[in-house]
Amino acid sequence: MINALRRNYPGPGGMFVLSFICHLVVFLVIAYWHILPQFHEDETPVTYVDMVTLPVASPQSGTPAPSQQESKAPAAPAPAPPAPAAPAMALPTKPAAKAPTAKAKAEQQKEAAEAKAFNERMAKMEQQAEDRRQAAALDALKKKGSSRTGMPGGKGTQAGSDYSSYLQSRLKDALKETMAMQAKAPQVMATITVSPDGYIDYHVEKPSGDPLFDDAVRRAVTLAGKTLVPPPNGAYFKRVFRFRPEGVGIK
Amino acid sequence: MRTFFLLFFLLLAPRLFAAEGYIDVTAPVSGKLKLFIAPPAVLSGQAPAETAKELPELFGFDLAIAGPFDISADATSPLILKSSVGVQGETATIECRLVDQVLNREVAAKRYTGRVKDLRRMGHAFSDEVLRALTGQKGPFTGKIAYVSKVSGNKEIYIMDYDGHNAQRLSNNGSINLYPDFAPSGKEVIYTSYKKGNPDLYRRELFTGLEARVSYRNGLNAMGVFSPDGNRIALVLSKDGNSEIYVISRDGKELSRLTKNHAIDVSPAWSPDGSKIAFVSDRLGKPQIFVMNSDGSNARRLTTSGSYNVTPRWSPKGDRIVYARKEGAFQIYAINPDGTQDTQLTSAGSNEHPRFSPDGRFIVFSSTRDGGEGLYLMRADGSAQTRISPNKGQNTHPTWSVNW
Repeated sequence: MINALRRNYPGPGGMFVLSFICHLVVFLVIAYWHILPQFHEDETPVTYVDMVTLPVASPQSGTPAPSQQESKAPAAPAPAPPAPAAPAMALPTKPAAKAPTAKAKAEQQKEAAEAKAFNERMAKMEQQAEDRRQAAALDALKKKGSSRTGMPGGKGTQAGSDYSSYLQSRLKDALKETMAMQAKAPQVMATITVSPDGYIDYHVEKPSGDPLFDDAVRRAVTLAGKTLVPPPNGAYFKRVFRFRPEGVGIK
Repeated sequence: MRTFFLLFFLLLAPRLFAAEGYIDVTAPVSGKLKLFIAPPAVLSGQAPAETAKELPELFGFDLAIAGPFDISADATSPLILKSSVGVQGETATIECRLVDQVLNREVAAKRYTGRVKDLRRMGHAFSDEVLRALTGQKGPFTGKIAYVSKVSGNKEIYIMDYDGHNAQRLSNNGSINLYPDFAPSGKEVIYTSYKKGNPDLYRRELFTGLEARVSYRNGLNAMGVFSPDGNRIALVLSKDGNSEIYVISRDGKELSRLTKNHAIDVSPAWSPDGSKIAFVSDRLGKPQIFVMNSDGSNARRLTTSGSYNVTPRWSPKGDRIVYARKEGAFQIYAINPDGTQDTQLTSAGSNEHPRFSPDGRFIVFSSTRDGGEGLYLMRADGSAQTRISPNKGQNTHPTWSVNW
């Protein structure tokens, strides 16, 4: 074997070329590996947290972006800011024994009026600053989410990257309606297919052995399929779902 | 080249052969399936039955206590139970259907014909069918419950529907009658009666009324229980001065002794396969539950908690044993046959004499929680405790027959 290696040894230059080819192949494989998920019809489920509690009709349609007219309209008034804190500077103490004269009283009233006007101006400025900050945050969120489905600012035509989560949510809601069981920990594994026209079909891979729970799953899939939005981009959606009475999570 | 392929394989193999992940869909365990019970219609060409009004309540009671259902007033519930009743002379006909409105299919459909007074029984029969269709195991609702009642002044044996209706007196001797137990066929009852002065064991055929004195040895002939095959009876005899457990043939002639010691051994209970007998013994000082082979060998202590544990009964599947523990008042517990998972099932009042339903879904027992001593029903996990005995007063020692 050693003799065979010596016989086929290409020399330092040959080894360099061989090493270069190997590295290139590895690089290409890794690059291909990263590109590969784009050819899948479904993507890794993404769960969005709706920070501004805007309604999302479906993952495909997203939330319509505000129209030009709406965007020109003034923003809804923000909740009133907390009352400004009292001036930090302590007022000079006044002699308690002396009764205030009429002139002194007038001066005091004037000072109080000035202080009140100052506080009102401060509160107004703080409120304007808070409004600007909230509007800027909302704009940034809309810009960030404009190319993602199910996000504020979506045009309703983008691919639904979270269709798995959407379907999971619909199935979960339906299972709450149909849930019934007699076994302690039943579990059903089923492959669910949604056609481009929104028709749902499923195949039980592994029944639970509890007829009551198996039927509950069957009903849940049927119920969820009644109002299902089709998968994005006219593609078929196919995934394996595990139905259980307890625990939440995506593996 | 080989190195190249090896490298290629190592990099891509996990991607190529990895199993695709799955997505979890879950719902709360407490979820129940909504069931709407439609008012009964009148069968075409027949007269309406007055007693048909009881049917929705009957179905509601049966299926609510069964556990998986939530009886709903919403007609769009996933399940809907429809019934039609008609009467012609003394004959009543009832037609029942359970429809799955989501899957758009008929789950169960039956038509029963019988006497007008058997309308409730027909309703219970359909409840049994509903459970069979949905769970694969028939319900126990057409079974009967035999029990001891003092409503007439003496302790007599009575028999009633599982929900407390149609109570009938079985014994009528003005004496003390105790410990009824059904034969596996449900057609015979054995019980202990003092009607001849001594507590003897009697066997009574329910449909003919024929009665035989099975065991009348000196002293106690009590707590008789049929073996699962119905050919033997385990009972307590004190003919030698001390209460011991024996097994006799169903005609009482063949006798074999299972326990032999100076302690009191009582309350035998067969395991469903007939290979073991649970019983109560104070051989270690206080009454505790023991388990032995059905030939009397290999007795071992089962309960290790509590100082006074009595009246064991095996579940039909053999996976649990219920018993009563005295903790001031009696409470019902359930334990695995290996001594694990000792679980308290009741807490209100004093609760005794637990017995499983023939399908193992329910436990019937007596309780003082509402004053007097009444009969109650609960699911095997202790939930849905419901009173079933019709009258106040002392009703004890219930036992549940197979479906008639």
